[in-house]
Amino acid sequence: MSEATVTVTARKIAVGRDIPESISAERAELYRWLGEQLAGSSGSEPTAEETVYVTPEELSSPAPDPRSYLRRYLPVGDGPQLLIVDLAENPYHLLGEPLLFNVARLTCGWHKAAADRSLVVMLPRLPPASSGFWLELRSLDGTAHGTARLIVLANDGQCEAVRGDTPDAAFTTGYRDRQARSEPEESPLSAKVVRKLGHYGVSGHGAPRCRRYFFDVENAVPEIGRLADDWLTRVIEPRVPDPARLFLVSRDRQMGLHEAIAGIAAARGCRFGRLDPEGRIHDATGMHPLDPDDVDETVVPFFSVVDRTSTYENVIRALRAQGVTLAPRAWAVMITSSRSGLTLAKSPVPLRGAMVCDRQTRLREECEQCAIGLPHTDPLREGHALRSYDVWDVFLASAWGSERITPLPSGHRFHYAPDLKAVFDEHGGWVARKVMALLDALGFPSGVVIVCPDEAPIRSVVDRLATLMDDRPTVIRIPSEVLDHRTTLDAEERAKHLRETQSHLWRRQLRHLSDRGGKVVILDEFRASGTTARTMRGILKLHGIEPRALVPIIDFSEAGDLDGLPVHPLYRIRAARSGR
Amino acid sequence: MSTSEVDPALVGMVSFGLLREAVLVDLAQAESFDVIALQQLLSAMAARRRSGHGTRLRLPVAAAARHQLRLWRFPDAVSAVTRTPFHHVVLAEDHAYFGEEWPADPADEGSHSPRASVHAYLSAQHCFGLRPYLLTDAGTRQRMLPDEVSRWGGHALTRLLESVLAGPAADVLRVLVQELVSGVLQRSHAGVAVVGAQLELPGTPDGTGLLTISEWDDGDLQPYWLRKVIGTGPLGRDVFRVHRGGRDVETYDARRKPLSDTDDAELVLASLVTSSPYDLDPSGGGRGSHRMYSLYKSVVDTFQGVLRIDSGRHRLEVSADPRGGPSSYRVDLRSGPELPDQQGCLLSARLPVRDV
Repeated sequence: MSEATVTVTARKIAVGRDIPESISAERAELYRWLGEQLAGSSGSEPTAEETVYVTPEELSSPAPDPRSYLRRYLPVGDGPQLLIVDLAENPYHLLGEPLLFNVARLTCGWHKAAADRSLVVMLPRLPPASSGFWLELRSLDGTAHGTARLIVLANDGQCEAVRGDTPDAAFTTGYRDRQARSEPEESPLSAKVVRKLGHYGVSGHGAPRCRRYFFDVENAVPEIGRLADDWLTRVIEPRVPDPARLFLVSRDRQMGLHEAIAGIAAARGCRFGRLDPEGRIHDATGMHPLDPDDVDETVVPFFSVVDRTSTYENVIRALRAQGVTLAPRAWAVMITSSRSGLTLAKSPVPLRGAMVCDRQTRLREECEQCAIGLPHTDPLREGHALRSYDVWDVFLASAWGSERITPLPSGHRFHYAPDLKAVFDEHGGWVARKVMALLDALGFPSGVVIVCPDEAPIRSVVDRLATLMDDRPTVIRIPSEVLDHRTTLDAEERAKHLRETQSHLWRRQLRHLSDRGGKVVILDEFRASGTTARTMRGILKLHGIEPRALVPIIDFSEAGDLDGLPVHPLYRIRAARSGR
Repeated sequence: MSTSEVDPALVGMVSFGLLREAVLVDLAQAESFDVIALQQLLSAMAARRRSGHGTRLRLPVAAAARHQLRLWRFPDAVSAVTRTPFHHVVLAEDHAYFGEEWPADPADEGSHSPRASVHAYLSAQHCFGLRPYLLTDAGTRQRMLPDEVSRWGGHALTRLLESVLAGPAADVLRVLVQELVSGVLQRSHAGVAVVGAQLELPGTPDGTGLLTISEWDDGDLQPYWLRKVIGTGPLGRDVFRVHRGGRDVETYDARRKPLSDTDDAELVLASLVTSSPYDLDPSGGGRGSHRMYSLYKSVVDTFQGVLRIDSGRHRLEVSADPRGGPSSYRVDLRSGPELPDQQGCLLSARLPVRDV
C-alpha cells in the first residue's frame, strides 16, 4: 500500500508591513527542504503564497490579535499535513508577547485538531522560557500520536521539539546553513556607506583644499561594528601583551564610527574614548581631554575616513607623543586613495582600511565651486534639496540621448535627456539619502508605502532606499505597460484591463491599502507634464487610496501641487517639455 | 534623591495643607537622582497644574547633579508636564543654569566600572533619563513607540545590555519597552507620559548594578483594571505570596484569588494575580492584550528583577519568591497614608546587572 501524501503548506508572516508581498525563490527552496526532511518522500511540493502581514498599527493597537486574518490562511482538509509557519525573517523585537501568544495558540489549535497534522514554527530566535509563546505548546502532551510533530526552530539552529521525535544534529545544522543562505544577503559595507556630493572644505595641514564627496557612514554602524570587532580578534589580540586591557579610540566627524566602537567596548568591557583632529585622547563624550597618564591600557585607534598619509601619521605621532602604549596596527572604515592605502599599509603602525577608493581633492584656487562663489557644504547639516551644481554636474557627466520612458501619446518625449538609470546607478545612495531626509521631514513615523513605476531608473533609487532603511519601506511597483497603456484606454477597455490584472500582486497590494492612503507616497524620477503621476494617482483612487504626496526626484514644473496633491521634489528645473 | 526621600516630601505637601498653595520644591542639596523619584515628582507637579496650582523648583547646588538633570532632559520633562517653560518654573536665582557649560569632570555614575566610558557616551546621547510625550498630540502619540524602539534598539546600548543583563537583552525591547508603551497608549485619558531609563554600573568587585525602565502617565488606570474580566485566573501554576503590613503572609493562586469587588488594594492585587494572556482586552478586543502578565513574567523570570506598580496610595512590588519554585512570586503590597497619592500610573522594572 502506498504511503499517504503529506500536504505541505508554508505561511510566512511579515510583521510591521502594510501589504502582502511575494515570497522569494530562496525562501520557497527552504520550505521545500523542510518538507523533504520532515515529511520525507511522501511530502507534496509546499504551497507558499504571498506573505500574511501584520501592520505597524495593529502591533500597537489595544488588541493585536492576528487570528482574525491568519485563521483563513490555515490549511483545511483531511489527511496528513505539515504546516510551516515562518516568522524567522522579522526583526525579533517586533514579535511582541501578544502576537507570539496568539500565533502559537492559533497554530497549536490547528495542530491539535487532527492526529496527522505536523507543525513547524520558524522564529528569528527562541523566546525565553517565560514567554507566553510557550504556554500553549507546553500544555500539549509531549507524546504525539502517529507521526505528527511540533517543532520550533531558531535561525541559529536551536531547535525545540515540543512533540514527536527530536530532529538530529544534521537537520539543525542543515537548517541553520540553509536559513543563512535564504536570508537577504547581508548588506555589504559599501552598500551602506553613502557617497554624498557637495562642496566640502578640507581644513588642517597644508594648503586649503576642497573635496567633491563626503562619505557618510551613519547607516553602516552594525557592519562597521562587525568588521572592526573581527579585526580586533584576529589582528590585535595576538599582538598585544594583555588582550583584555584595550583602550579603543575613534576619530570621526559624525557619530557612526563612535557608536560602532562604543558597542565593541561595551561588549568587551574595555574603555572607549575619542580622538580630536590633532590626535589628543578625549573621554567618551568627546568633551574632555584625558590625562595620558591615566591611560595604561593598549590604545587601539579607529578612523572613519583617512585621506592622506600625512594626516594619519600626524595622529599616530601625536598619540606616541602622549606616551601611551599604542597597538601595533590601526583600522579605518575607508581610505580614500589607493596610493595612500599602499603607503599606509607599510607605515610604522600599519593602517588597514575596510574599503579603499579614490577621492580627489583640489586646491581652493583650482576649485570650480569656489570660483563661482559656492559656499562649503556642511556634511552634518544637509537638508533634502539637491544643489544645482550637483544635479547638473552628474547630468552632464552622463550619456545623453532620447528619453526612453514616457507616457505616450499625451506626453511628449524629451529628445535629449540624461541617462537617469546611469545617474541613479552611480549616485543612488546619495539620492536615496535625500529621499530619506524628505520622508523624515514629511513625518512618516511608522513606515511609508512607496508607489512607483516599475521602471529601471527609479528602481535603482528604491533599491538603495531599501538597503539604507533595512527593508523598512514597503514598495508597490506599478508595471510600466499599465502606465503606458492606461491613458489610451476607453472606459470599456479600462474595465476589461482592470479585470484582467485583478489577480496581479500589485493590484492585490493596492486593494489591501484601501482607505489607508495617509502613509502612501508616489515616487518617480521626474514630473514633466505630470501624466505619469496623474495616471498613478488615478489607479490609487480606483482602490480608494488618496496618497499623501508626490515626490519627483526632478520636477520640471513650478506648480507646488498636482491637482491638489502636494508635490515635494528634490530639485526643481524650470523647463517645458518639447512639443515636437 | 530617591523614592524614600520623595515619598515623605510628597505626603507632607498634602498633610501640611499645601495642596492649594504655591509650592517650592527645594532640590538644592540633592547630589544625584533616581529616575523613578523624579517621575514621582513630575507626576505631583502635573497633578498640581491640573488643579490650577503652581510649583517652583530650586535647582541643586552640586555641579554634577545639575549636569545630571540636563543630561536626563529634566527641563523638557518639567515643561511637558506643567505646560510651562522650564525657566518660568525655576527660581530667578537659578537662571544661571541656562547656558551653563558642562562640568570639567562630570562625576559618572559608573566611574569604577570597566564600562563607565560607554555609559558616559550613552548618557551624552541622552539614552538615559526622562523622555516626555504629550499624548494629546496625535503625531507624538504615533511616534512614541517608534521613538522608544529606536532608542532602546541603538547599537551601543544593545551591546552594553547584552553584556550585563541576566536575560536576553533583546527582550528588553521586545517585551518591556513594547508592553510599557503599548500600555500607555491603551489606557484611557492619558494626556502626558514620561519614560524613564537609568543604568547604574557601580564598578564594585561583584559588579552588581541596576537597570531601571519606568513609565509614568496621567491615564486612568483604575477603570482599565475594573473593566478587565477578572476571574479568567492564572494557569494554575503561578503562586503569589503576599506580604502586607500587619497581616500574615497570604498565598494566592488559581484556587484563591483576590476579590475584585473589595477595596482598591485588593483590586491592584487582583490585576496582578489574575492576569494571564488569555485575558480579554478591557476595550473589548481580542485576547492576549493584558500587559501585566507579560511584564511580571519577563521582569521576574527572564531578568530576575523587580516590577513595581504605583497607583493611588498603593505600591506593589513583585519579585521572585526565594522560598518557592520557578513560578512562585513574592508580592510586597503597601497601602496607606504614608505613601503619596500617585496620580495616574507609575510602572517600573528594575533589573539587576552584572558588570564584570
